[in-house]
Amino acid sequence: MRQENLKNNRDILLETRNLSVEFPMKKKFFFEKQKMLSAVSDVSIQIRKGETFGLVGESGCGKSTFANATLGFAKPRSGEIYFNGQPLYAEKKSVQEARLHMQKIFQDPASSLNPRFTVREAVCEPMRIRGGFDKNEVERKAREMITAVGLTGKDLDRYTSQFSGGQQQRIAIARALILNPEYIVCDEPVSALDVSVHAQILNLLMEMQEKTQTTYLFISHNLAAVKKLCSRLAIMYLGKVVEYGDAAKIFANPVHPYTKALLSAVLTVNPNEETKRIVLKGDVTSPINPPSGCRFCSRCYQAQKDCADRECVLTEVEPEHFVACPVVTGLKADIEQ
Amino acid sequence: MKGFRLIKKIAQNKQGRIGLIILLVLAVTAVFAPLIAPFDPYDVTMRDAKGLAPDKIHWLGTTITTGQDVFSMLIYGTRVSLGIGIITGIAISVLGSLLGVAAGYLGRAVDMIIMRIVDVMLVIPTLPLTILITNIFGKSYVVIVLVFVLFGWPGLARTVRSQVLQMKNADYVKAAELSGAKKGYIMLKHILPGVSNLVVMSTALTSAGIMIAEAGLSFLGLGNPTMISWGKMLSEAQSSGAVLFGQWWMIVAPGIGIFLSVYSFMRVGFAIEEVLNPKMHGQGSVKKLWKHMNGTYLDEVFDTMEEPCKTQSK
Repeated sequence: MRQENLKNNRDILLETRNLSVEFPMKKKFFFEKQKMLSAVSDVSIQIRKGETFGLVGESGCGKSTFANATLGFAKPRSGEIYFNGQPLYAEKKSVQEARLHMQKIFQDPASSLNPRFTVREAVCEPMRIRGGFDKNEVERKAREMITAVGLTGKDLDRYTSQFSGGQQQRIAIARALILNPEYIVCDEPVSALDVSVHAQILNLLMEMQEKTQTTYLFISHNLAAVKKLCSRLAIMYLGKVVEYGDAAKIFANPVHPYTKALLSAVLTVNPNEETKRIVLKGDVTSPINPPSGCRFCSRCYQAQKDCADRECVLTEVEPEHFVACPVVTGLKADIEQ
Repeated sequence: MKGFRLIKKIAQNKQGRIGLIILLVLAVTAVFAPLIAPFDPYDVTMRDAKGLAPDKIHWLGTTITTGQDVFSMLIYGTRVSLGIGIITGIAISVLGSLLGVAAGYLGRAVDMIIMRIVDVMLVIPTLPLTILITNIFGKSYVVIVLVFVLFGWPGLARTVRSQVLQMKNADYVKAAELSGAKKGYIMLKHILPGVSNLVVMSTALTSAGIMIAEAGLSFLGLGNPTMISWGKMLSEAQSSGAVLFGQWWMIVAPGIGIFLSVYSFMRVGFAIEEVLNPKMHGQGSVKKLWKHMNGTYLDEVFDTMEEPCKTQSK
């Protein structure tokens, strides 16, 4: 049904269909049944060209695993990923080919840059690996990129470990963008940095996107950043997408109880404004052999008796806004009847 | 450039400075042995100068059976000891680190095969097999070096592998993979430089161990009989009854030689490790030496280094 909602297939850069990624758990006994940790389960998402797609959720909910799967680092157990209309995991070669157009910006810039490399080596590494560029071209491009991210040509000869976190992240951004990739995963790009440089890095990312028309998959805890950057977003809980669609619509009208709880935790600018905090009880359910129905039901303040068994499917509550909650969809179905 | 910086750091370290000085003296002695030695140590025709006590002409006396000049023998012995120690140490480091990196990074079948070989090599009793091999293939130094390398690499390969396993999950390796880097590129550009400092350290420590082992083999009569080495000097002193005649200098001289060379290598090795890994500062060198003899030292050093890439950058 959702496929029909698409405006145009050509606009889609990356699409996942019922993507599930599972990791085998270590067995305690030899004859024990193999337990699987379900990191991403049944996720169907479309990322359009040139947009910034936000992926929000608490730690361990499968955001990074999803991103890694789209980069070809985590093989899905079931479901498909299409990059530019081509299935990503069809052959070994297809991952390699797709990766020519992909890059990633990591959470911790200190560990994403080899401390033994100079900035020039680090920034030029993708070009050197790809091969086929002459020396002058590499040098010119390196200078161009390093000035574009706000450092100077002099810095090219210094070691990456001599820079501060914010500067290192700029170098990492320069490296990611040097080959003009179509798709960049930003895996919490500012959460390891000082608060004072958050805005600088985010602005830089937006600036670069305007220049290059790159598509970002933006993973973050920081809802304020997501609100500023993302045009569309998906909210994940325990490996499943619970709410998905236009960012503005989700922020204006959160429907899923988990989304409501998340948004209620955002601080507002006005200190006098009374906000109702929704505080969730308990801990995240274990992702090992999770319940078949709604995965949020054990902590949900709107849960009904049979939530754990009822099927959770993303349902359209308004145009470009999908929610997977048995209560909400149940109500909607009742109204339609 | 980087190698020079490391040497400078070692020289600044109190432990390392002494080691470097002794090592330099020994190296000069070995290289210029013919110029320094007052007599030809291979000359066994001095019938009237057998078993002399130290005097102004023969600084450390002469041997009992052949009348060779002990001081000249000592100086020529430096060549064999240092040569074998350094060559074998380097060979072990190259082989051990390459196989360790391959096992750690490539994983799967490669890892399985290499690590099973390592397991087997580590439980084989070394000395009996060494005796066997030198008896079969002849007592040349080539054979002896090969035997030492054969038994030396598995320990290093195992420790390097455990380090690589931590390093291969680093984000910069992931980033290189994402850019389409081949496995060879990542191993050469990212992984091998990451363990290089540790390999240098283990080279120094292994060389020291090899020098002792070589002396031991020569003492047992398994060394090259045509060359003068410190082990062989000890062996000759013992068989010609130096203790009986009270000629202690024949035993003490090569003993001091062995001690100095091993001690200097150990000092340099410990200094490299202290430079690289400030966490290991607290322990005395006797304690470290004991651990090294028991084969647990390198493991401990590797364990305390959580991120090899970060310690290097400081």
